[in-house]
Amino acid sequence: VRPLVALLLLVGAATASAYDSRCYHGNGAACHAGPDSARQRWRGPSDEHRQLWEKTVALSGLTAPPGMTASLASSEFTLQVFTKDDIVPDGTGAQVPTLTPVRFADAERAPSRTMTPSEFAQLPDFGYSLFDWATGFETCPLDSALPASAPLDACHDFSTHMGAVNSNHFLPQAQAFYVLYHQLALDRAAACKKMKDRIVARGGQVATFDEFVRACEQEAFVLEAIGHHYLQDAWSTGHMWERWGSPDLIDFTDLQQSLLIAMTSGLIHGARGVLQDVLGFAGFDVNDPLCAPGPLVRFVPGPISTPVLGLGDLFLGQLLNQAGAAFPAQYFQLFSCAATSLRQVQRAMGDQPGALDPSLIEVADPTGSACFAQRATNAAMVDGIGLDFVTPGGVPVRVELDSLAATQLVATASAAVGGSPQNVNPILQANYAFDMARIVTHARLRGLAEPDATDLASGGLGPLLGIDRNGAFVQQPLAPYVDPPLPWPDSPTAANDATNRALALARTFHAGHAIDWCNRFRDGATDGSDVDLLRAHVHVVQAAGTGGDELAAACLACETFAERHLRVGTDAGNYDTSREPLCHFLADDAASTQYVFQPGDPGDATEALAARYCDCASISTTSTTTTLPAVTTTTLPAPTGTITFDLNLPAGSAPQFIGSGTFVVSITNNGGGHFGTSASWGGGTLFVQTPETTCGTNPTTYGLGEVTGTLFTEPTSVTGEFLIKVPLTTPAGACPLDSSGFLPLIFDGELLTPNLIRFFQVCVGTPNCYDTRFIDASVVSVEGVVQIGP
Amino acid sequence: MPAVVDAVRVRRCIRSSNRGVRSVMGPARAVFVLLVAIFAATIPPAGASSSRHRCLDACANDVHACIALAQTRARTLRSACTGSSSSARATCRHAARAGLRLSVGSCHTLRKDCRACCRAGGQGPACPVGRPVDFVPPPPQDLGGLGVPRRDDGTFFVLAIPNASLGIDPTRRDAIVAAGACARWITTCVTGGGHALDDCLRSAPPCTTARPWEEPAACCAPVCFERYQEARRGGSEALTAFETVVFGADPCMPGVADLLRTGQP
Repeated sequence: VRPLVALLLLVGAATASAYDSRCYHGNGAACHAGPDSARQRWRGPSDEHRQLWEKTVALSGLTAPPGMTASLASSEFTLQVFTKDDIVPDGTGAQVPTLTPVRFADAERAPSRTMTPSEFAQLPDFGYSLFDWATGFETCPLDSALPASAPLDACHDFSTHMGAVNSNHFLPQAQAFYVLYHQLALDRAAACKKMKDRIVARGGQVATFDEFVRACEQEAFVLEAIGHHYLQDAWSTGHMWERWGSPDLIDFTDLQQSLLIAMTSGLIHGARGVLQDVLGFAGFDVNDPLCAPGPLVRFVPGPISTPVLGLGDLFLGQLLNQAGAAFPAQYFQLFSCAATSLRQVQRAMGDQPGALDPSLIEVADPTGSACFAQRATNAAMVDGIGLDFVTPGGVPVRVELDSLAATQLVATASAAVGGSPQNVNPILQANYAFDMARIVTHARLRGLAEPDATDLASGGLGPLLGIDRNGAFVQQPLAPYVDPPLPWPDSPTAANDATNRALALARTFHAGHAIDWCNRFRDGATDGSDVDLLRAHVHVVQAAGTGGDELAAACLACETFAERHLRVGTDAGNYDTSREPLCHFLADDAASTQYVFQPGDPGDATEALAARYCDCASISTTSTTTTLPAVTTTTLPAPTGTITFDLNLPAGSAPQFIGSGTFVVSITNNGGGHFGTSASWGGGTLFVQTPETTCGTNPTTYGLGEVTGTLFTEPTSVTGEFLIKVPLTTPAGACPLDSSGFLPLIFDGELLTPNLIRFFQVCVGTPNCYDTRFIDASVVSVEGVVQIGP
Repeated sequence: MPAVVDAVRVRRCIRSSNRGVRSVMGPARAVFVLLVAIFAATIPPAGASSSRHRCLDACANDVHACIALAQTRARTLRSACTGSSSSARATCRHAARAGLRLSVGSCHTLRKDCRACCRAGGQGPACPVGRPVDFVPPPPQDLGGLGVPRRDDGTFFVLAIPNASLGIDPTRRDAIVAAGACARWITTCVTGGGHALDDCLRSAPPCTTARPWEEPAACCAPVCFERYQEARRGGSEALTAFETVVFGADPCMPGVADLLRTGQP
């Protein structure tokens, strides 16, 4: 490969990212690509991939686990990972703590990572794979094709590196990537079923080890969500054609080639995503096909079907509006495929899903042609080859890219990335212009002759600059950065750095991989999978007098795994056989897994016994802002700090959150976003979606909020102040506090603080909140009465 | 007698079978043509003579149309020679005359081919491909007039990303742009004019120099049609023949191959 670093800095932003993906800081600011993105939540305005997942969950009839009101596919979870005390540059000039998991016996920090599966439906637009996220976007998976390591932010920036290889977001490569991740999800779901089956078969209670089963199932949904990104892309008209190129950078020959191919693909795909915010287009509305809907934007849904209207990225609202009334075929097939896929995963977990939404069907094979044979029509492709916008004066304009204009295309690159109009290879420029003239000429004539055929979208455009259509690059492995095959962790292999990647994944999702770790933990294990070694690490840190976060991390690592292997007693001949630990039930060979022993009373909680075993009993692992007794009532008028309740609970207690009264949040809009109802949103009752008070990893709805304030109609901006009142009544089956007793008050996933700027999600459409809108607002006060007690 | 008429139709069928870009004769039609040809071969000589007459009459009509078209175009070109420089006007008029000569020459070739075709019974490798059609393409889009934003270098935005952009430079003139103009003339003749690809290839204005990008209007090198006709007579599908001739490994437009190879005009 010729030097690609400078080249790649130029490549790809023009290749749109399919349905939109967005990452925001708590204050509403967009994330910086790379490590910063891995540390933020991926939800907020225009998070189309996440919305598609949530919509799919709502339609698919997935059932909630016992004691929960929502499916795990929609539920928030928190991963406790174990890292070194290292920092990495995040690309903004700041240094951030590493998230790369290390050997549990080397833990120096224990950061938490909270997400929902739905957010992972956006992962392929922010990172290369799940292991990439698991390692905090702290490596560049493209480095093997680069002469020098790329900066972490640039490597994960769609406008520089990721766009160059996003041919896998287009058909038919998208199908191959979906199949990969759907199969990983099914395999992990089967592992979750095995977990439950083993517990039952060995005389245990699944409920006793529920957190591990749920962690496993949530990981399966995470993998499924990643696969859905590609499935969703396949149902964006901008992606229903075979763009040129490969997901492997090494298949390109040089910088300019990659740049021109990526930009050209973006032009046909639809340029709204890249032009709408360009300075020169201020005030323009770039409603550019193929993604922008229009009379010519149609696709053929399958081998034997007629063209239907479609749309793509940045126009999701029109698809969801009134249950796909304007785009019924696209809506029906997309969600039938996606819901079928999700239901397969739940069945693989051993659970029968509920009723599928009656508007959909279960397809026989969501990996097959029913879900991936769709192609844009020739007429639509011709419509895509051009640029459409509405001027600030309201005049619709179409710039035709005809055979002549194609030869007058000129690519430029900024000096900041080592380019200039003068240094674009003139041979490449000439060949590009010539190829483009051939392509548009062919497209126009085919579009006239057979407008409803799909040969143009099926590779009929011919190669561009010697690079074939993406269908020619469906190879194994699909790309050098895809996630490794299961199991995680696995024995060393050379493929894809699979060992390290699988290990990182298994460490990050260690609770879900309890079977794997139970099998690995042995006395004196050379890879550090030894509970005694974890305890020894605690002793070393204690002896060094280090304390603080490092000691807390060492203790947490030890306690986490000791609990899974701990028998209550003194030795193998003297322990409480009625309290066998997790690994007794899960290990392939219950006799050969590691066991540690800690004497205790029948009433002692295993967490406490594990802490005692690790000599960590006096260590608190949560920060304290407000310490309350076990039963308390408090009022919080405009508090000055993060509102949390950190309870030091007696061992073995099982307190319940029994809040009552009304929790009032006053918010003031900051002038952005929209809030209200209108016909275009589908009408319906306005309500606050799932104001979440969490306990542990299981969100529980403590009541729907009542919103008062001035409603208005889009696009009028919010100017008033709103009150969101959340009646804190304990619902039936509310989850108990987790073992740490850490009870943050969270509204829609965010810790409530004064002056917190965030996007409040407001829903329209009962009962499933199909249409969501966001308002950009600040919390100005928080007031309420909360009662917590056993 | 009906067979004679059909024999003429055979030639018409060959010439005009490519409405739009559907260039391959349908199976049913091919069978029909074959049957008619076989039948025509069995009819008495008197019928063949009458058929030839009709065929030749049709040739004459086509040639007259061809010449009229050439003259009309020459007049149009001459009337556009209004530059302030006398030398420029002279060059312009010279180009118009050269174009007329080339066009008339191609009309003579058409007559020759057409007559040979008639002598061959209205079919065969001598039969001309396409008929002359009058078509004036729409002018290129005025991007500035449309309000398309410009880049810093004065070209018009097509795409822009933080570190790169793609624009259109309407002032660009080189061999590839000339090839694009040729392709545009033919493409719009089909898509906008409703003519067959065969007819549009035959009717494209001929370039009069080896530097067509300096000529006042879109044109196609005469060799483009010659190669196209040869490919069509050899059984090539119309769109394939067109793309091969104009955009293939040996482009028909002058200067293109060198520009692709060297990057220099």
